[in-house]
Amino acid sequence: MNGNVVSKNSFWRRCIKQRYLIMMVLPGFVLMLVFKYFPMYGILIAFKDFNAMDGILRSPWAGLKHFQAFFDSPMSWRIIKNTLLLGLYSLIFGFPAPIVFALLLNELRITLFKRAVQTITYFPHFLSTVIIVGFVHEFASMDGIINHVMGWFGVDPVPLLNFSANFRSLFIGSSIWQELGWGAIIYLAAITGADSALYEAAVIDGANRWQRIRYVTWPAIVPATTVMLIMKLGSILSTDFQKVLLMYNPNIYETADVIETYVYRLGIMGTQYEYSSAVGLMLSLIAFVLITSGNYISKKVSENSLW
Amino acid sequence: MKTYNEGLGSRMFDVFNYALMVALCVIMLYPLLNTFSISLSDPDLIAQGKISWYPQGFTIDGYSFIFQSNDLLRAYKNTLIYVLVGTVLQLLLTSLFSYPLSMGNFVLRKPLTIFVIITMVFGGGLIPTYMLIRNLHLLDTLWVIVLPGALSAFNIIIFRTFFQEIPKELRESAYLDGANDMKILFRIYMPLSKALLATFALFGAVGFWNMWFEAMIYLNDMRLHPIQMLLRRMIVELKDMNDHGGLQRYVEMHNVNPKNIKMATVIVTILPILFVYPFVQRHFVTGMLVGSVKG
Repeated sequence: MNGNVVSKNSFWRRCIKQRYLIMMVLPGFVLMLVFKYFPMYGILIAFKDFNAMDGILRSPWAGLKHFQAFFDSPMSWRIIKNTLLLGLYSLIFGFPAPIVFALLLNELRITLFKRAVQTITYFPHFLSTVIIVGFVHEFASMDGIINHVMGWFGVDPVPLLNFSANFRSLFIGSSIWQELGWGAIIYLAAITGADSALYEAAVIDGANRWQRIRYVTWPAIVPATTVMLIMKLGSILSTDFQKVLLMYNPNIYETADVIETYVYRLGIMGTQYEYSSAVGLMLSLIAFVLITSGNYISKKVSENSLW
Repeated sequence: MKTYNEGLGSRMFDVFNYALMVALCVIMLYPLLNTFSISLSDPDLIAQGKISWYPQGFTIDGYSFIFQSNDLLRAYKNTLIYVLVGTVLQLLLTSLFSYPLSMGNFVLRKPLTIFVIITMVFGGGLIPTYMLIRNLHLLDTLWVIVLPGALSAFNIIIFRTFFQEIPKELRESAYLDGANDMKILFRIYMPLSKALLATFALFGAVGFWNMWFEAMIYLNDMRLHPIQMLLRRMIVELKDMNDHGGLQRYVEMHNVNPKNIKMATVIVTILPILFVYPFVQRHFVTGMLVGSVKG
């Protein structure tokens, strides 16, 4: 009892003593409370029949009506499938590319050339999504370079982005184009960390080029690769929906429409707040489970984790 | 490196590798050079699909058109404001918030760290955030662009870790000299963190420069739109024009080819980044690594 009072006192005394520190965190605290926590409360709307006059709290409860409506809708299967496939294909094709690139880059022996390649390949990372998608529209158009090249093989030109079969290739291809160089940085750093004594020993032992890559360079980047893979798996559902929004059109919703673009169309353009919040909430929940388990596994497997 | 004994296979690999790298660079550069070339080329030659690596039938009509229209200059000015205010606020608020968190004896260290980490794994999502911002009457203001993203859990953790590395003896001797924490942050910690601040200023600036989605949903007033939104309108609208044969009408009306205009706008949007990029590339790379190694 007595100890309780003392510790309480000392807590407040410490607060007063550290008032400058508390003042310093105050603006950031308020901003995060408003912009990060308040929307979490706003999620309640997914369980309500929202009425703007009553506000979120006083609007009547609707139970799981909006969730039910989503699963009953013919759209649900399509957008879940599209989100999963886009994430999965992005992982399969987008994940190994920077690793291979880093390994090949490491084999270049003219430093100046190597640095030039790095400078050129890092640059697209800094271009905005709008510009990247602008390139895609340009190259995929009737008179664009892709149709031009296809013409050499006798294929007639078509507006490629109007066919759902092309969407994923164009989306993932342009992402690889943009992130190939930048994504290699982390692996290059890991390679630099490899002990150069190991290389010398390998040479003396008569290891050829391939063996040096296989038994010295590759083991050096395995830890980074593992962590990156786990993190990528955790965020497999977080498609770059802003890029999808810029790229898609109603003709290709069949493959291009993902959960978040659907939420955007219904919620912000169609003002169906409750329904779209419910759909968004389901996505957040699945993503939450994936990210936390990814982080957990990463912590177990290696020293690295998000928190 | 010369000590390696070179077999035929090894040398063939080198040839293949260098060729591949050159090919990659060509693929990386082509879209940029092609855009640049089209922006400066004669409309007829563009229509015939003759422009690839360099401009032909030189014209600067596209550039003179965009610099005469108020749209571009206004969008450019808006972007500069968002970049400047957004980046400064981000650095300032993150530093202020992270400094106390970096001190072992700060009373609220534990609860605030949890408070921050929760935002890392859970968020309200698009629609509740949109409704909140609408209810706060922040639509069509500068604040909706610069405030919601000013603090991120990720940045706070990196700043905190960096501040923890600074020897606390510096702080303690400053206390003895009568300095308060505010002074210590601005006079001692921030000057010692120049490398960190520079890196995050660069990332922040690029982020705000490339921002468009927030502008699309939160800014209905086109006079507030940043340059990326102008570009988006051009790309989407011109695509529609191509499809519906409206292109010819546009050319006759304005006496300029819309492709010249579009590509010229892309070029002036990329140009600032292109100019600073070679000088700051090193910082970006260190920043990227700091971000991935943090503890």
